[in-house]
Amino acid sequence: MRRSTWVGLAMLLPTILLLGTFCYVPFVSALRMSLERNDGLGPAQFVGLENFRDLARDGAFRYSLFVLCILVGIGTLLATVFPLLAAKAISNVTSEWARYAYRVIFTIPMIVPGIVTLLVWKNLYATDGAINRLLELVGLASLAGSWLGDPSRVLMAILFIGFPWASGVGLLIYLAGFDGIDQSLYEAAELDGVGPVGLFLEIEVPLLRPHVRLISLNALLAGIQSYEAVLVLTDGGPGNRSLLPALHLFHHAFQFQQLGYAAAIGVVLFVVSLSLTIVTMRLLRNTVEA
Amino acid sequence: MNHWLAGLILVLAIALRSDAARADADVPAGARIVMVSYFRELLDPWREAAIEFKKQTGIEVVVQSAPYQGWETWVRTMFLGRMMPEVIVVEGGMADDLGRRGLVLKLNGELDQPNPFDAGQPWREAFLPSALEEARDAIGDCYATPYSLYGIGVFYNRTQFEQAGVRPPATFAEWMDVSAKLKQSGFTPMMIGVRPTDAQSVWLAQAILEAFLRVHVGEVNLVHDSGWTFDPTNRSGPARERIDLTERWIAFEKGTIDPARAPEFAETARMLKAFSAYWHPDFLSISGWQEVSSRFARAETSQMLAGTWFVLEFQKLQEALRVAAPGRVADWGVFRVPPIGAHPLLRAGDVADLAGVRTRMMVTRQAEPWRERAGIRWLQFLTSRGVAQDVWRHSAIGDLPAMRDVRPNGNVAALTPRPGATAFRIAEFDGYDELGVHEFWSHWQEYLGDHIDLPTFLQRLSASQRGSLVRLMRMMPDRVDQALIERELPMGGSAR
Repeated sequence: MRRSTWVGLAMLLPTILLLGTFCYVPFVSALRMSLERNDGLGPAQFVGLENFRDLARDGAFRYSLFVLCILVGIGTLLATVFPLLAAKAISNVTSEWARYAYRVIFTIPMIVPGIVTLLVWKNLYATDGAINRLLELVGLASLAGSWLGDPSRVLMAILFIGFPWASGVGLLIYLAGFDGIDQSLYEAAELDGVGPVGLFLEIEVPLLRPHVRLISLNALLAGIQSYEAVLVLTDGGPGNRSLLPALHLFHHAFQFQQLGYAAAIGVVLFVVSLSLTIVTMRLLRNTVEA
Repeated sequence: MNHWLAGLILVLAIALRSDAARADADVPAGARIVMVSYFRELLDPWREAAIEFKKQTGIEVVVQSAPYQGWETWVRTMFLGRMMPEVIVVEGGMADDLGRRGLVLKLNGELDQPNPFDAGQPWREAFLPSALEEARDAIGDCYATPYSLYGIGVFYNRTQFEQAGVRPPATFAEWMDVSAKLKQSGFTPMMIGVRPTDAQSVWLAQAILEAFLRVHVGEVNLVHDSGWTFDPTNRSGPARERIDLTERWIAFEKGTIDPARAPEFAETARMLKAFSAYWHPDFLSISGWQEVSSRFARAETSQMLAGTWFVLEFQKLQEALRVAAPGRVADWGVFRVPPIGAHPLLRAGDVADLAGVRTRMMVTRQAEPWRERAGIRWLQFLTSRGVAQDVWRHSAIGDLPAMRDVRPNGNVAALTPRPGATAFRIAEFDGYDELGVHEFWSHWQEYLGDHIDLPTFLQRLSASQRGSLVRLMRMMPDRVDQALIERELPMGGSAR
């Protein structure tokens, strides 16, 4: 091997070691733990696939998968589409100063700590909170009620957090994408008489597909793994109606001391994440190639 | 002047205390242990006590605080990470769970030994007998010493009561009438969050269930001292008797304490459901007791269940409110949770027994034995008469001391537990282990939120509690008397 290759490998070594220590070793250890009855304190007992069998019979876990589908499915759509529309709107602004101002306005929410955002929304959702008061003011008092305590509304309420879903990294990525589109394409479209809708759907969106793929995958994986919002707002309630698999994992690991069972949930979540990532990438790759 | 004199006597008493309290021989020089607690009101006086303890024993105790929110998760995480401090202070039944897992020391033997910091009298003599009894688990093992007692009552807004033309009720039925009138007058009669972070609904349910099931104590407590009989009207009857895991399993399988078959569970759930019509309508999303108490302080509700610990805290809240918004300071009072009265299912007992041990202190298992011994010495020091009285005198604690001859602070007379009124805890309304309790909250929310009916709730609760008991029996096979089970359940259970 050439000297430069050795130097390259040596420079990669710290990263490989850190990745191995903090990502792959815990992953292998979780795989092993999923086959054990393990409370983390006493000796672990090998139980084969018992944890997975229990998981298949666990009604709360099955329901959490349904909740995951709803929250991640709709959440990914919102996180992908709305920043795209916002970026399109900003990129159409001709004044440089106004574009800059809009970018700042849409970016500022990113620096607000997530927990603060959640607590603000929690107050908005209170029965005597701003949302219900607003509904009463505009004559829609019949729609007012408990948002986080009503099983039929709780998922909608969680999804609505972050409205209008247009700020964040997604917006910046799309803006960079719009900036990267060759100006000559716009001129050609104008010559061909393409309207604004056609320009957006036929030219801009296809060219932004790599960005769409990145943002949607990011939203998908974050949605599968995260549970903080649900933990803070409802703790999975009322009656498991907002329970997510990751929160179920957290409960079993740190409240019920069932580390083996929690690891089994983690393994299932990993398989789900991997499958969805492959499917999403294939879908988006096919559409790009088409 | 009297305070000065008392203080002087206390200082002299501590200074002249027996030298037997010196550290054990194998405690290394410069020994240092850690105690962690979330009881903020006690931290400063404990730190003061730690200075004196070091003078007497050479052992340094670092008193650390942890946040109340997520405390149990914090403790479990520390155990998982093998980072437990030598002494931890908890509330509720967590001590039993940790004890069953062998993570904290069993103190049975230590309690019989002399306390070198208390003139050599047996350590157990420091505690109120009823508090010590309650601090034991189902089969009589003691993993935690009691430290403070709580009493629970209904805190009410006198101004709103006067405006609604009602007075504190004498019976449970009257309480419903009072709540109805408060609602008619435009007030929110009661603020309860039906979530694990607010125990009010379970306190009520547990107290009612205990009263209903009290008549069955004799048939459930199968293993007892010879000559023991149970008189349901004797409030101190259960003392020194326990319902152990085997007895619970047998009673459950016979149906006596099975939610799906015992009518007492159905009646308790029905009563709470009827009462929930007077709770704040968002009871499924109210975040917890802290939100409830702050809303009560802001006069957003007429009543809430709270305990002795809240008295001094509430007085402080009111002082702050007097400065910030003088017009919003409500006149408040406390009444005991009213008895059920002439309810057909009730044979004896009432629902006023919402009282018991709150703060418990445990010594964790350590790799180095001297750490465990130092932890025990520290607990003996803290619970010795002079030190405990000093802590109570210099802290803003509303809870009552679990130690004899230590005077409480604050105006907590209305909530003072009556000595000897220990509950048998014949059955649990929520669950028998952490997972069972977690499942209970889910079913309870569904039922109170009108999303499942009563039979479904009871069926689910039954399955959940059965699962809890099975897990406990698997975890502690040595505590299961198989011969007794076979004798009592010859058909394999389900006799009732």
